[in-house]
Amino acid sequence: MVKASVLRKKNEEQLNKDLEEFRKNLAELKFNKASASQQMKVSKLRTVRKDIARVLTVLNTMKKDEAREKYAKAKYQPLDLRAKKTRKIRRKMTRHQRRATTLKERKRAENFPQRTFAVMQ
Amino acid sequence: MGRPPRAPKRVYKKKATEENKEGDNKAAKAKAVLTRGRFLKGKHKVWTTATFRRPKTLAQARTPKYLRHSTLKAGTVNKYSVIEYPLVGESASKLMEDQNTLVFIVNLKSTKPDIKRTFKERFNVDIRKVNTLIRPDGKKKAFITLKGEQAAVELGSKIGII
Repeated sequence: MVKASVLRKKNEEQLNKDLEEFRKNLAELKFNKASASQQMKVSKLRTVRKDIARVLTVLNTMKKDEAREKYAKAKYQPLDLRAKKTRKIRRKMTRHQRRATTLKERKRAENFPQRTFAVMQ
Repeated sequence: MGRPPRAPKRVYKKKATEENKEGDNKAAKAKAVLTRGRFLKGKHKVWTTATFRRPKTLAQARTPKYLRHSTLKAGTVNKYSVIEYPLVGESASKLMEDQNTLVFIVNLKSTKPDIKRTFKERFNVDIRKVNTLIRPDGKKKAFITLKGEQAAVELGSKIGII
């Protein structure tokens, strides 16, 4: 069984090679199981499948991270790199848009702010 | 469709002076375009059929401003996913001995050329033909006939089918 922490240290080429190896392994195990000519440990099937899943996970997350770096400064980001939140929230106005005011409003607010008065005893 | 509607004909009065001539011509032309529409020569297309088919217009290729998916996910289809496992029953062994054929359960979505290609890659044997069928339990069965005498029995014992 491979550990993900070990896999993360490898590069894409090595991971692809590992993937090929695991898949070959799995194929042989499946053949063995079907031919039933030898006693085999059936639990091995599961571990190999999970190993393959681990390699694929690491590969895909690596690619995703690379993509994030690549599109970090882009004007339009690919959809899966944008914030997911909820559909409703994505369609709302941004904070900047909500707080936008006209020049007139700003001037008025600056020159005629809301005053508070107190009655002196 | 048809012609654009025609305004009543007008007589354009021009001053005959040299200086004004060009400017007046331009002005006159512009006025004509406005009143009579673009087709000053009055050409119109002759329709020879009863049906009107949508004319082919410019279709431009997409130039997207951003990708919809940033990465291509590592795929699950590979040379080991096509052939799943061999069948070993009595009929399978009979086929192996008599017809030089091996029987496999194969991925449901794989095609005969796929099967042929991956089999050759995996076992380095020449194939005469592949027949497939889909079993009632939803799995695809492939009958792979090999070239060369006794090739099936040889390969079978190597794989472990015997």
